[in-house]
Amino acid sequence: MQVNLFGILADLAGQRCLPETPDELATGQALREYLARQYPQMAEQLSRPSTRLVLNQEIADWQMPLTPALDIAIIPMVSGG
Amino acid sequence: MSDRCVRLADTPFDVDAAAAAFRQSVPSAGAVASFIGQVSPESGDNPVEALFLDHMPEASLASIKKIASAAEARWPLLKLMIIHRVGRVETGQPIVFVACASRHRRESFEAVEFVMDFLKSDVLLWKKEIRATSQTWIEPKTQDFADKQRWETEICTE
Repeated sequence: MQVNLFGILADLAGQRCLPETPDELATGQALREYLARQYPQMAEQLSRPSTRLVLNQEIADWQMPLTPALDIAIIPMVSGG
Repeated sequence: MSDRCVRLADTPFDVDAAAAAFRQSVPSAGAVASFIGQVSPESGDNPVEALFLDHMPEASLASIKKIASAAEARWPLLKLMIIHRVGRVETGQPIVFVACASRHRRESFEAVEFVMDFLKSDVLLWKKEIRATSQTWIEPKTQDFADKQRWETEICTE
């Protein structure tokens, strides 16, 4: 599956898109734990309550099931204006 | 719902032209209030050279539209405009323009403040300060959350 990153998460990963993320990750929480292991530099940000899972452009609960067909993103705390 | 223009701009926009066009488009209004936010260099030895605003094209715009809808529901606005930059914004360039038109001044003043208070902490944008020797992602300040709370309402921008 493909996972898109935004803001500081993209900088920490060194890339905006993670196209080789395993399809077997069953939930958002499993994805978060996998990314924290694969990219330890992102672990602290991923653990923050303000970091959110986005599925098909909508904020989603970390326990939501994942499928490769979903548009998957992870976003840090927002800062507009 | 009032007449509305909400958009994201990935290149510099002429804020004076936008303000003039907005005012001229609502001749029936008794009041027009607006706000321009622009990139400040700040002071010190390592001034801000630019901001970079990361965004999700669909979701970021949708989150701004929800704020616009909340303002329209709260005040009898005749027209509302929000233009928000994304991408790299140089020092001195406008980053956001908000304008509201209404019959009376109080509605426009309050609606512009309301929109800005929610844009600061609820919209799906990520802002990085670019300086000569450093780059820093910015998070909302405690004051930004306090500014939003004074309206005693929540907008689900997610």
